[in-house]
Amino acid sequence: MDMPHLVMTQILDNVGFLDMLNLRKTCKTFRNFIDDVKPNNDLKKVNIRLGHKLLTVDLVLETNGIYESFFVTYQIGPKDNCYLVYKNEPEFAEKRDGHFLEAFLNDFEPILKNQRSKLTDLEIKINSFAFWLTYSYPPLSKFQSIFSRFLCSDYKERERFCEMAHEINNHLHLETANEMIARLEQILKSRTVPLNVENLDLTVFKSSQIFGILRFIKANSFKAFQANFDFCNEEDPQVLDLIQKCQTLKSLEYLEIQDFSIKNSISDFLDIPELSIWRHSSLREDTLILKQAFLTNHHLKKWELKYQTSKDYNILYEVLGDIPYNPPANWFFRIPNSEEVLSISVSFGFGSISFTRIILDDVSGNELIL
Amino acid sequence: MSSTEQGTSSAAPAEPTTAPESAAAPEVPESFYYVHGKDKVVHKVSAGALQHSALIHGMISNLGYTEEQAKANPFPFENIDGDILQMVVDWCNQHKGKPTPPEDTNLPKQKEKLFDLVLAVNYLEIKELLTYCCKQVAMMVKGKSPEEIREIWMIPTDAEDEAAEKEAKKRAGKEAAGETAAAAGDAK
Repeated sequence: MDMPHLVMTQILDNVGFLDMLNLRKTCKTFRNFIDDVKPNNDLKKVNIRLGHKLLTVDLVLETNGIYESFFVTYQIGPKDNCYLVYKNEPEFAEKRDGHFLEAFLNDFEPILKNQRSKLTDLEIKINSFAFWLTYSYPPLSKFQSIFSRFLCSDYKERERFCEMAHEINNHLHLETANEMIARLEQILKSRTVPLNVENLDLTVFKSSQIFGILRFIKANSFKAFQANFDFCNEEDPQVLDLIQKCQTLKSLEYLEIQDFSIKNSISDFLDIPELSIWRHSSLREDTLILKQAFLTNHHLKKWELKYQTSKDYNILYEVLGDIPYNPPANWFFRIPNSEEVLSISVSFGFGSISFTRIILDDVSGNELIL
Repeated sequence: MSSTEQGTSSAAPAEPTTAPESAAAPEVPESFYYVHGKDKVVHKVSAGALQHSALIHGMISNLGYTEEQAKANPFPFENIDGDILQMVVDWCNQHKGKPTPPEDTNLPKQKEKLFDLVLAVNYLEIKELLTYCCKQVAMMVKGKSPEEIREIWMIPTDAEDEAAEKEAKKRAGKEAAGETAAAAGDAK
C-alpha cells in the first residue's frame, strides 16, 4: 500500500491503540513513520502501579462511548535475570529473559513518547508496604493450588518475604521505584510536546519526583492533580516548597496533596476552586486570608486544610468569633450579593479545617454570623 | 456558478404555500459538466454533485464554462481508472445536496479497489468520502496480527525493504556513472 503522507496519517488516526501496537511490529519503516506522525488513538487512561517485584499497567480505551480495559503485568521471574509477563490472564504468563522494569520501559516508552491524544487519567503509583501488609506471591498457573504453591520451589523465597519487616521491603524496592520514575521522566523529557493529561494522580516517595513528572504535563488541559507520598525516607524533609511556581498547575480545578506539608503563602493557590492540602504555616493567617477570599471570589468552592505545626484549633474562636462549643465547630458567614453562605468547619479529630460554599436555605437563621 | 440548491433557497423567503411550487420548477436550470478517466468514458455530472470535489469545484468556478463548452471539454483524469471514477461519480450523485451520514457501508470490499478509490478521492479532494475510505482501510487491520497486517496492507518486511533500498542505490550509482561517462564523452 503506497499512500500519500496525509492520507496515511488520516488512516492511522482511525486504527486505534491496540492495532497500532501490532502495526509498529510490521517493519522498521512503518515503525519510524508511526513514531514520526504520532497518530491519534483511543487510549484514555493509563494506570502504572509498581509493587514489590511486580509492575501492573491498566489501560482503558474508549471508542464512541464504549470502554474497553485490560492490564499487563510484569513480574520478577523464579530465577535471576528473567521475568514473567501476562496480559489479563495470569495462567498465560510468558517467561522471558531480562529485568521486569526494563521490559515495561521497553514496551511503554514508544506509547508514552508517541501519545498525542489527551489522556483523561494518568496514574503513577509506587506502592509502599505498611507493617500490616505481607508480601504475597500470586499463583503462576491456574493448576497451582494453594497447597501446591507451598510445595513449589518459590515457597522458600515467598516465606522469606512474608517474614520481612515493611521497612526492609520498602528499601528493597526503593531502588526500582527511583529507577522507574527517573526513566519515566526521561521518556517524558524526550517528547517534543508535553503530555496532554486531564487528571494526574501520583504516589511517589520523593517530592522531587512530583516536579520531575509535572514539568512535562501540558498546562492548559490539566484539570486535577493528586499527589501522595506513601513512604518517605528520613533524609527527605516532609515539606513541599514552592509548588505553585510550577506553571503546569495554573489551570487546575482540583489539587490534592497528602502526606507532605506545603509552605507557600495560601494566596498562591487562590485560583484553584477545590483543594485539599497539608499546611506548614500559621492557622490564624491562613484562616483570615481564606475567609476573605471565599467571601469575595465566587470561583472558590471547597477547600480542606490539615495543619501539622499548629494543633491549637481553639485559636479559631478568636479569629472567627465566639460560637457555642459543640464539636464539630461550624461558622457560617453570609456571602455578599449571593444566595450562598460560607461554611467554615473544624474537625478536631482529623485536625482539619474546611471552607465550603453552601446554600443559604441549609443554614438556620440563628447560626448565621452576618 | 449556480445550482438547483441555490435556486430553491433564493425562492424560500416567498409565501410558504408557493415555496414547493418554486422548488418543483427551479428558476435557474441545473448545469452539467463532463469528466473522464483512464478509459476515456465520459460521465455527465451535475454541478451540485461535483461540489463534493474541492478540486473540480475550484476548476469549474475559475473556468466559467457554458453548457456547450463543458460538453466539448470534459475534465480528463488520466490517473484514475474508469471503474473507480464511476464509483466516485455515483457517490457524488447519491449525496448531492444531502448531509453526509456518519458511516458509509457501500465502499468496495476488495482491497485493491479500495486503495485505488482512496488515491482517486484524495486527488479529487472529496473530504467526506476520503474520511469514510480511511476508516474502512483502518478497519481492515482491526484485531489482526503483524503478519496478517503486512499481508493485507502489502507492507514489505525489513529484509525486503533493505533489498529494495540496495537495488535503488545500485541503480542510482549506475545512472550516475553513465551520466559522468556521457559528460566525459561530450567534453572530448
